[in-house]
Amino acid sequence: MKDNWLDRRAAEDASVVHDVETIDTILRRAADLRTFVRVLLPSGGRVFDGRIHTVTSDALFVEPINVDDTFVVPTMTLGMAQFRSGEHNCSFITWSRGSGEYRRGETLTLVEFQKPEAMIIAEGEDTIGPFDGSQPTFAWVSPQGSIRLVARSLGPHLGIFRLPEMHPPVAVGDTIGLHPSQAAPEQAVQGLVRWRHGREILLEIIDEHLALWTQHRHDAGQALPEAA
Amino acid sequence: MSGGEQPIERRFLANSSTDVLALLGKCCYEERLATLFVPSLPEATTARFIACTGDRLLMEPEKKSDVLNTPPLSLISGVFTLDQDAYLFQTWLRQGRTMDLSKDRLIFELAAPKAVVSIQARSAYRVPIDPESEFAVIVIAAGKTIPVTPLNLSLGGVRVRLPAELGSLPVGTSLKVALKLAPITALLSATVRWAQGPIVGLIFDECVKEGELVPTAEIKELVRMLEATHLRQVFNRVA
Repeated sequence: MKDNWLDRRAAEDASVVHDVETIDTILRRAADLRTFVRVLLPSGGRVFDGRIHTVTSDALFVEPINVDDTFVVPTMTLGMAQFRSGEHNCSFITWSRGSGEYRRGETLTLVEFQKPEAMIIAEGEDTIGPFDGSQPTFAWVSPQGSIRLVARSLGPHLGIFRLPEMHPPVAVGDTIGLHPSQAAPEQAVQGLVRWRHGREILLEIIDEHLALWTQHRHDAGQALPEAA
Repeated sequence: MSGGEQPIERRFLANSSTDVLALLGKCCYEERLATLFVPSLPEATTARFIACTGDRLLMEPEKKSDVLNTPPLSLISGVFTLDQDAYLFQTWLRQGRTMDLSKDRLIFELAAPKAVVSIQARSAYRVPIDPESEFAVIVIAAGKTIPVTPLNLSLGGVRVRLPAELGSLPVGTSLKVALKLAPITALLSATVRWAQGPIVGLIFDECVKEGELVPTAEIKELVRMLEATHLRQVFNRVA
């Protein structure tokens, strides 16, 4: 029988919100928190990162980050933006009204977009990460001893890890045990390797160990500053 | 702004699986291109619609992409245009690797999107008009001269709110429109392109020919002046 783990673990369906007040609330909260946003300009496939800066009655301002002096977004450019609001993934499509410098104590470069009137909201899982690749670490309880796995992201049922350069053979379908590096081996949980690319693996934690996994995931999230 | 004054610029396909499937099916039939976007990747990928079933969407990338190396269940968004509208869908990746459907084709397998939003394609940027603006618009129709409230202006047209006593104007109505902002005055022929109650969109007949924008010098100058005003107001708001 085919294992439909993908469908089993898929997040809930995305839905469309086009209530103006709801969208305004989501965007203003994102602006208050200077929420990280990734913007795609489909013409040319350009992507830039930024933080939601200001929301007005008809406009949305994004402060781009890590851009140089040549950065410019022309007016009438189609833009698609994606950001997280709590446990939700939010995305929308709108037109730019151009980019420019604004003075607000300091001089800022802001990109103005027409405030979206529709938004897709996906009730994504409460995934922690992506991490920067240095922390947290888990120990794989392997026959060859303790193998260090670097966590990339930790979801309620799934974890993505990076294997060290030297590691025992691992393939899709294998089951491995792992525990936080600072925890005892008896705290290990079992995970099934569902995907592998190079040294990256995706583990699905077995149902019997989800309670323990939830605790490990919580501890890992507490130990780290929130990743962008 | 009351609900009745909301301009209708977008068409929504809110969780209507039939509509979404029909839309995606048309994209597959036309083998349209979409720009795919995975939040964890720094670059976008262009891919072509290939096939869509009730729960799967297959897309063929134009070239090898990091999407192929992305874990399954990753969030993925796509932007495409169809019939002059732009669309956005959001879904998740089923297969982050290639599938060999016909020897050498790389295929992304996505969950069929359930939610799609669209935005009307535009030929010109619309400058919002502040209610306090001195920009005045007068509609001349059926022998009457009617002052109206301008809501936005572009190189190709103007959106206005009609006075309550006038009601609405049918789509297709031909009229004259006078635009005034000292020292500019422009008198143009216009056609009602769309209407929703007292809010109507007028297209300037002289400024749009065979789908191409050919704005008059007066309209160009009016848009420039109003855009400058708008940007100053934006500056004040942000500051």
